[in-house]
Amino acid sequence: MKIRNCGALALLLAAGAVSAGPGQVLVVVKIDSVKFQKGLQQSAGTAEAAIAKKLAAQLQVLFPPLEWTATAPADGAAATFSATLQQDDFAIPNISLHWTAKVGESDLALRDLHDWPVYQVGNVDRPYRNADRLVGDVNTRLTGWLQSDAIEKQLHDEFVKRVPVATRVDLDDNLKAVLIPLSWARAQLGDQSEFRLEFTRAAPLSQIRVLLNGVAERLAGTAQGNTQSIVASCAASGVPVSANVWSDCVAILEQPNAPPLLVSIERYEFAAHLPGVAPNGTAVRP
Amino acid sequence: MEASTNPPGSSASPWRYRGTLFLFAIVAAAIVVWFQRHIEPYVTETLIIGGTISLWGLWKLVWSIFEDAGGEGGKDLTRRFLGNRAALRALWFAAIIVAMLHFCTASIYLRIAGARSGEDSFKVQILEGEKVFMGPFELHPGETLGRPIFPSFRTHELEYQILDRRGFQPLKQTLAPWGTHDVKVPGDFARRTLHIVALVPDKVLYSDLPNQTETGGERYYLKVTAQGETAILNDYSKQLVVTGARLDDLPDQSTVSHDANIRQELGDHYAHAGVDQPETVVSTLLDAGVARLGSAELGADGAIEVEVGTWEEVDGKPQSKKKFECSFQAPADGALHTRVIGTLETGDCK
Repeated sequence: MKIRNCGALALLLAAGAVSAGPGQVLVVVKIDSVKFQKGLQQSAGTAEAAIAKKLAAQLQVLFPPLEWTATAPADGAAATFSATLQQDDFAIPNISLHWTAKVGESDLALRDLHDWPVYQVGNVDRPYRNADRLVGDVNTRLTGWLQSDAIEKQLHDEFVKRVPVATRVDLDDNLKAVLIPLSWARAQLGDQSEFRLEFTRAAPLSQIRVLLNGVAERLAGTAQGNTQSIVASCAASGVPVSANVWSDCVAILEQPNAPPLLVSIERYEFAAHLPGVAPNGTAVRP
Repeated sequence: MEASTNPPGSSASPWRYRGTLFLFAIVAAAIVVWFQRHIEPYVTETLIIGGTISLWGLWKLVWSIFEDAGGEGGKDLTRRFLGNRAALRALWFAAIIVAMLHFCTASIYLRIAGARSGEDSFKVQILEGEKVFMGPFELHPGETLGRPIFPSFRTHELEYQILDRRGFQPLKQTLAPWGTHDVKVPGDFARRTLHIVALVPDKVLYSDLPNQTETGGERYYLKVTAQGETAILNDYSKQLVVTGARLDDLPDQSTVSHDANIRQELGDHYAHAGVDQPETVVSTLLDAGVARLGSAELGADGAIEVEVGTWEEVDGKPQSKKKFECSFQAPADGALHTRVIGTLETGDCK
């Protein structure tokens, strides 16, 4: 078995520069409503932090392969997901959450992720001066938001798929497996989950896009406990590669001066994994 | 004929005797009237009946001793007594005494009459100028309080006041030296018609106002001007504000929150304003402490101006910013009514 580390520290892709901490998503909440800013004053920051923490925790449950955090990592996060509490110009303003996102420093267009109302015109009982009540109200609304299948799909398609979860992979030439540095236990990947490996090949110059599926837990050897996958397909600048897929699309990552790469989620399916075999070889699940 | 009408032992003529009888009757009637006007309310009926019976028994006892001692029978006593020349003089003296009693006895009595349901006791005092002339009396149903005033030589300009209930005007009366006041409480007191309004925030203002327990953020004030007098509520919150009369005359929290007019008008307003769960808004306003903002007393259709704005302390000094002002008239019927303030739904404000 030949294992090669094909990692790269940084990758330039169409989305722009990806900072350190692949897979980490910083959740930011900003109170931009003038009514709430005037009312809450200094406690606005506390409310923002509390909402962000709760939102990060809820998103962590929904999309565990990513590491959602409300505290900015020291070395930066791969992406930022922001909710801004904003108001419109009506006499009794509609107060809603507006979503924005960044990967690295590049803004993402969240076309289908519409603003989510928190207080509508008919609701006149607004806690403009009560941070605790605002946090409670927003958290309640967010819980409802995240319980929607449509919202989950939009989040998956418009944001989760674009966040790099790794900037390096290990290869197992014997098994023809690509090992993603992603904890299998934490990621809670279902059988139908897929990843996307992208990099730019120098000769011939082309954009390589490899679809990885067959995800499973790496049970032994290097990267034990991480996620193992196999190549499902490969395309070079949009042209499917049908022959020598491993050597043309993957093995080149073992060469010296291998290009920087990016691994992203192509499709995430949740599965709660129960341990089947204990580390000492004892079966714990039939 | 004439000799036959003379009583035995009397030197008076029959006409003199009849005149004496007539004077006796007048003096007796005058005593009864005096007693009835000034004394009767002061003593109990038991005392009157018991006293009369006791006096009659005592008279009969004295007379029987007199007869046993050889005195004449009582049959002709009246005639002999009244037919006597001295009797007339005595009666004239009695008449003068009774007249003096009439002219120098005044009395004041108070009793409950004309009360409405729930008005079961009153505290009343009587002033002459700045001084308390009589009382205060705690008056209950069935009681008659007061007393005769003897001797009474001058006229008193009195003012009767109900102390423990609002809404009654003072009763001014002149008590002559021979006068009597039988005052019905509260029936003789004119009830005051107050024109009080409850200021209700429209839905925009309601959504902006702080709750009563909230202290941070933008603070609101409410200023009321009536008849040139201005009163300010510095911390205006989600609450009703009653105004239009002096502070002591304004209804309290319980009265306002149980007032049928207020509940109906509030419910109607917020139901038509397109507010989610209007009953919650109404409950919030009724359960919050009602702000009582004393002002000049408004007459029917009296003009009242309301200004609402925000304020904050800058360098220790309050700086205010007006949001809107309203001008409207007080209700004419004397019942408690609402007036909606705010810029969204009423033409009275701008």
